[in-house]
Amino acid sequence: MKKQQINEDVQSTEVERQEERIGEGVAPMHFPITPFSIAVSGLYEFRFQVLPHPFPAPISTGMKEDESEVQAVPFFLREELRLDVDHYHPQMVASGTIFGALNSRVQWIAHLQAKGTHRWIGTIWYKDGNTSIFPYTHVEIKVTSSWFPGLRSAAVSFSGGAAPKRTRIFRYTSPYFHPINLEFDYAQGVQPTTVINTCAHPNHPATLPCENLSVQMVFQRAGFNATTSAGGGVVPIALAGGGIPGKWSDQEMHDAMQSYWSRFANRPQWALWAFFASLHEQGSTLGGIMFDDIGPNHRQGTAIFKDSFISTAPAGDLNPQAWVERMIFWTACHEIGHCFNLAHSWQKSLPVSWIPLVDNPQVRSFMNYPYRVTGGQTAFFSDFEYRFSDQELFFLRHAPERFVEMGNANWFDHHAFQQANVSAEPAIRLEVRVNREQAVFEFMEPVTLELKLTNTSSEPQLIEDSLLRMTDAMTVILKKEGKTARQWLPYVQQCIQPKKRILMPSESIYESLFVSAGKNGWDIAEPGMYTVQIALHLGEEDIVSNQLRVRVTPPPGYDEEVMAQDLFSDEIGRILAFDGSRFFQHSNDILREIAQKLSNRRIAHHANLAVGHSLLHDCKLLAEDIKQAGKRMEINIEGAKPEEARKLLVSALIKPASTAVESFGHIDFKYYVERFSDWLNENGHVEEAIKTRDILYDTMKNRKVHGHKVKEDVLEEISRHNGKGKIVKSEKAMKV
Amino acid sequence: MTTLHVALQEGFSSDTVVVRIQSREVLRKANVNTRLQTGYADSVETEVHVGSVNVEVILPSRNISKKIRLQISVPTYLGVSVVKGIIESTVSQTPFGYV
Repeated sequence: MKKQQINEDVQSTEVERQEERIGEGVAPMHFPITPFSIAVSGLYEFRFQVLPHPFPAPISTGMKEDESEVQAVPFFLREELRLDVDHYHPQMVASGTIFGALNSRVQWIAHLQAKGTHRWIGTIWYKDGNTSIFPYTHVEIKVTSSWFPGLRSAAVSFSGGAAPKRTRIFRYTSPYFHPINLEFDYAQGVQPTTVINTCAHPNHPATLPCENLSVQMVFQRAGFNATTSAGGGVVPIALAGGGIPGKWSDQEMHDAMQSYWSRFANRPQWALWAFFASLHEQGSTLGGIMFDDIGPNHRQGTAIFKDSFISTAPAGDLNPQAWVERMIFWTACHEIGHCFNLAHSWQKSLPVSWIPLVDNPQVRSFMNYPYRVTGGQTAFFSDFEYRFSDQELFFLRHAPERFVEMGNANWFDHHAFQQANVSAEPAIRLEVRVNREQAVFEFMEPVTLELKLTNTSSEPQLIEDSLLRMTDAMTVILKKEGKTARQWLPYVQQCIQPKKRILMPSESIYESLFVSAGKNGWDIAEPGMYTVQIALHLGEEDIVSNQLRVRVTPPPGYDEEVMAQDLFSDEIGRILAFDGSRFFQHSNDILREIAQKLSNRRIAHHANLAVGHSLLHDCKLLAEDIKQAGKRMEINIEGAKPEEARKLLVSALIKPASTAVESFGHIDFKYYVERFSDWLNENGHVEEAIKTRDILYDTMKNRKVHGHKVKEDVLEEISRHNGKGKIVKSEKAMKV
Repeated sequence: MTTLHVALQEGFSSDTVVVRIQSREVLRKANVNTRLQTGYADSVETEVHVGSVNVEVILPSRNISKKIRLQISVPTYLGVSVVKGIIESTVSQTPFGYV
C-alpha cells in the first residue's frame, strides 16, 4: 500500500544550523566562510502584482526603486534572484527568473565580478524564455547584509540592451536556491547507506574534513533545501522477479515507485525516490541506475544495487568495509545526480546539453566514474571532496529549472498554471465556464467554452467591443492530465476594426469559444481530465481566467472508437469550427454517417448542425477547371439544399432542444436557433419560424444551471422577436 | 580456453553492430543504443584460445570499423565505444561496472 502519511524531516538544515552558529559568533570549522562574516548567497525574491491602473507602489524597503520601469514592463509579477558568491563552492554567478502571467517567463544568468564589499557587476550572457521583454545585458547587485535574514535585501539594477535602467529591491528568502525532497526506500533484506564517515577509509584527501556526511547534506551543499520524507519503507521482494527472481527490472522498480513512494505523482516536482535493492536484472555489473525514463515524467526514481560490483572492494584494500560503504554512498549520490539531469563527466559534450559544455573525464565529481580516471579509483578517492564539479553546480543552481526539476518537461508544461499570478482585486474578471451542471463532455462531443468578462470595479471601464472575439489577444492553454500542456491556436485570426465600448460596473459581456480543435490539431479529444485557462492581453496588462477542469468520458462502445478515428481529422475540426463547409465533401459524408449511426449521442447534434448549415444557402466554391489547359481556377456556385438543411437543423437543434442547449451552450444555441428561425422566416415558413423561436424561448426559460436561471434580459430579447409574423433578425445573426 | 567479454559502451545510437572474433561472427545486432544513464549498450561473451586474438567491430551503417589484436591469457574484458565517429577500445582484466 502507498504510504499515506508524509512525515517531513523537520530538523533544521545544515546551512540554517550553520547560520545559527554564526549568529552565536561561532563559525563552522571546516568550510570556507570567514569567521563572523555573513554569507549572502541564496534566493531573493521580489513580488509585484499587476492591477489595472493605477499601478500599486512596490513594497518599500527604504532603498530607491525605479517605479517608471515598473510601469514599462508590467507583465512581471514575481522575480527571483539566485546569488551565488559565497557558501559552498561559490560559482560567482547571479541568475534570475522573472515570472509573468501565463507563459511570459524569462531566465537570465550573469557571471559576477566583485566590486567592493557586497557589490558585484556582471554581463548577462544567457537568457531563456520570452527574452523580447527582457532586453538587458548588464546587472549590478548590491546586497544589504544583516545578522537577521529577514532584513537582508539585494538592490539589482539591469541596464543595456537599449532599454532604460531598471532597479529592483529583492528580499532574502533562503540560503538555498531550490527545494528538494528525498525519500529512501529499500527492498527486503537490504540496508540503505545514506550516511558515511568521510575519513573511515584511509585513502582520502589530507584536507578533507572528517565528519558524518549524509546524502541530504551533499545536496544541501549543492544549493538545495534538502529534506527527507519518512521513507524507511520496505518494498516486498516479491515485487521483483517477474522475470528473474530477486532481481529488479526497470519496469518493476517503476511500479514499486508508484506504489511505495509517498509523494509519487505524474507531474514535475522537486522530489525523488531512491531505492536500495540487491541486484538489477542486468546482473552484478550494474551498480545503480536512474531507471525512470519510463512514461511522461522522467527522472523521478533511481536505484542502488548493494550486491553488485560496488560491494566488492579491490583485493588488498586497507579497509574493505569502509571502501564498500563509501562506494555505495558515492553511487547513491551519483544516481540521484542523474535525477537532477546531470550527465556523466565524460558525456558533457554530447549534443543534448543546455549550453555548450566540455567533457571533464578526470574531474573528481560524483558524476565521474572513480575507476575511469587516470590512476583508477585509488587516485580518484585520494582527491575526492564529496562534491559535484563546478560545471555541475552551476547547472544545478542556475539552469532553467525545467531542465533540472524531476519529472519536468517542456516549457509550457505545468508552469503556466503554476506561475500565473492573478491580481487580488482586478477591475476586470475573466471567467471561463461551460453552461452545464458538471463540466463533463461525452466522448466525441465538441467542447465549446463560454467566456464571461465582468467589470468588478466601481468605475466604468473602457474596453474593446469585440474583445472576447479577438483570439489574437488571448492565450488559451489546454492541458490534459499527465500530458504536456498545449496552446490552442485558432484556425483563423479575425481582423476587427477597433471600436471601444464602456463596460459599466457589474456589467458583463459574453462570447463562446470552440476549443476542441485548432491549428495544433485536436487539443481535446481523448477521454480524461483537461485543465483550461485563458489570459486576455489588454495592452500592457494580462487578465488571467480561472482554471476550468473539463472531463471527457470514455467511449461507450466499439462503434464510437472506430468513428472517432474519422472524426478527429483536421478537415472535420475546421468544419466544426466554421459551422460547415461545402468543400470537404468526404468529411461531410463522415459527419452524416456519424449522425446516423450515433444518433443518440451528442456528437450527432454537432454533425447535423455543421452539414445542415452548409446547405442552407448557395455556396461559392473556388475550383480548378479541368477542361482548361493550365487548370484555370474558377468560382462555381453550389446550390442550396433547403429541404435537407431543414431536416438536419431540426435534428440538430430541436430534437430534443434540452440536449442541444446543453451541448452547444447557451450562447451558441441561441445564436444557431435564431439564425435557423430567420432562415425559415425568409423562406416563407413563417409559422415554423415562430414555433422555432417559441422552442428557443421555452428551452431557455426552463434552463437552470447550478440553481441559476437564464437572465431575464436574455429572455426578453428572445420574446421581443417572437411577435407573430414579425420575425426580426437577431442582432448576432445580423452580424454574420 | 578463456573468456573474452566484449562490451558495447558509449556512443551507439540506433546502430547495427557486427563483432567478429578470429573472423567468426559472434554478434550481429541492429538498433544498438547506449543508455546514457549507464554508458552501456550491449555485450557478448565468448570462449577463445589463449594467445593472440583478433577482434573486429564493424558499424556498417556508419561505414566504420576497427580491428583490435589482443594477447589473452586470462578472462579479458574489451570495452568498445564510438567517440566522434571513431571506434575506440579499452581493455580490462576485471569486469566493467556501470552506474
